[in-house]
Amino acid sequence: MSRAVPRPRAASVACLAIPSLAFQCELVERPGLAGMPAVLSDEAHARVLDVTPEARIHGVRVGMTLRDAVGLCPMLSVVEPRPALVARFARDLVEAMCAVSPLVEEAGQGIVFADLRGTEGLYPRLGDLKRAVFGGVPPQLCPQLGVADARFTALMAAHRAEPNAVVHVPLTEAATFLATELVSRLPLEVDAVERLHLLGIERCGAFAALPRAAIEAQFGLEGGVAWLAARGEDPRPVRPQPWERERVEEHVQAEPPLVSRESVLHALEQMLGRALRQPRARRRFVRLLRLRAETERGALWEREQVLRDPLGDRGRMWTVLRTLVEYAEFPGPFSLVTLELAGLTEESGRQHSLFMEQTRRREQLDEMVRHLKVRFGESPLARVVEVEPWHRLPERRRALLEYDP
Amino acid sequence: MSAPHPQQRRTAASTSLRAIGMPRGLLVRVDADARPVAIARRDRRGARDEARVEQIEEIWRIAEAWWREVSQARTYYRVILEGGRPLTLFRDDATGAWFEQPYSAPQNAPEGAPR
Repeated sequence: MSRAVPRPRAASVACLAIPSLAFQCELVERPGLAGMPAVLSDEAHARVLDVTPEARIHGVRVGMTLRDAVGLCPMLSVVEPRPALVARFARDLVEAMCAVSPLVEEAGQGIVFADLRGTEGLYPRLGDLKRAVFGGVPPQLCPQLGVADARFTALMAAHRAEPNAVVHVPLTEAATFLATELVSRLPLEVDAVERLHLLGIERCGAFAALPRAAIEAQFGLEGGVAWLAARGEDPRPVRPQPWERERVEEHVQAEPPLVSRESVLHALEQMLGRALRQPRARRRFVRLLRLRAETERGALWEREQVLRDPLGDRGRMWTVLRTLVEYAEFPGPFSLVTLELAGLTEESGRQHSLFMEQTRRREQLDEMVRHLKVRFGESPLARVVEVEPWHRLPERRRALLEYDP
Repeated sequence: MSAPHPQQRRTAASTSLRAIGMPRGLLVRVDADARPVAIARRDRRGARDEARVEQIEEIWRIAEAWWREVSQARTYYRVILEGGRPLTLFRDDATGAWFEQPYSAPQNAPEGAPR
C-alpha cells in the first residue's frame, strides 16, 4: 500500500465511497448530532439501520429494535431516513466524479466508480485527483477515495481510506493489500460465502491461494471473477451510462406545496417548455424522461420513462409525462418537482422503419379506431382470426375479434 | 322460420369472439324421403321468396361428437335451384330444422389438434 504522490498508471479506477450515506447526509443537515449518541431508523421506525460511535459505546448495535436501543441509551437521538435528501447527495457524488472522468458508474448508494484511463495529463498527481473529486463533495460527508488498477481493489482501498483521504494501491501490491479482506466483501452470492466459511476460508488471501479451476468448478463464472478480484485483477469494467450525461433539468420549488394533481400537471407543463427552450435541448431528441418530486417531509417520488424512439416533439413528450402523473399515487404534497430530459441525441438517432408507409397507415388506423371507440363505446372494427380451420362445422373455423389498438 | 341455431347461442355466450359463417334459418318443403324440394326465405322487406329445387348435386352427413350428450348431426345438401342458382343447406338431424350455410372443405388438421 502506498499513499505517496505518484499518479496511478493508465488503466486505473477510482472509487468514491461514503459508508452509510443516509446517516452522513443527516449529520450534514444537522451538525448538532456530531459527537452525540444517535441512530438512523428504518422507514417503519422499528429497527436501527446505523449508529454513531457514541451510541455504540452504550451497546447500541445495527439491527436491534429502536425500543431496545432507547432502553440501552435513554439520551439516544433517533434520525428518520429522508430518501429525497439522500438522493440529492448521491447525485452530488456522481457529479463530483464526473468532474474527473466522463466514464462514471453509480454502483450503489454512496459508491461511485470512475474510469481514469486517459486522464493522467489532467491530474498528473494523486493530490490533484483528490482535490478535483473532494472539491464537489461536502467534507462533512467524510468522503473516502480509493485508486487502484481494478474495480474491487479500488473499492476496498476507498473503504480503508480515512475520511477525506485517498488510498492508492499499485497493481504489484494489490494481492497483499486484499489478502486480509473478508471473503464476504467479494462479488459472491451469500450462499457461496457461507460455503467458503464452512470450508474455513475467511479471508481473500486464502481464497486467492486456491486454484482458479477448483473455484470455478465450485462457484462457476462468478467464482472465477471473485478469484481474480481477490488477486487484484478484477475483470469487471466501470460501466458508465454516457447518454445519461447529456441532459437538461428544470425545477419548481413550490411554496405552498403542490397538493392537487392538476397543479402538478400545470407545473410540469411549464417545466417542459422551459427545458425544451434550453440551448442544450434545442433541435435535439430525448431518450429518457424522468420526474422527481420531494415532499415536505423528505419523501421521494420518482418516475422515469425510457423512450423506444427518441422524441423531439413537445406534444408527444407531454402525452408521456401526463400519463406518468395521471395514474400515479403521490406520497404527499410536493415542495420540489424536478423534470429531467436525458439522453439528448441528434435527430439521426431516430430508428426508422423499412416499412414506413405501412407503419404510418397502421398508426392512422389505430388513431381512427380510438376516435370511434370514444364515440361508440366499442371498436366497430374487427379482425378475422382462425380458430379451428380444420373443423368440419364451418362456423367453428374462423371468428371476428374486436380490433382494439 | 326456425329459431337461432343452438351453436350460435353458445358461441355468443361463452366467448368474446364472434363466429363467422353462422347458419341461417330456412323454410324448406320436403318430399316423402325428407329431401328438399323447395325453399322459402324472406328478403329484407319481409317478402317471401320461394324457389324450387331443380337438382340435388350432393348429399353428405356430418356427425360431430356423436358420443357426447349434446352432439351435432347434420345432413348437408348441395342443390341447384330453379334458374340455376346453387345453394348449400342442411337439416339439423336432432331438431329437424333447416339452415342455409356455405360449405367448403376444411384444412387438414395439424398433428394432435382436437377433433
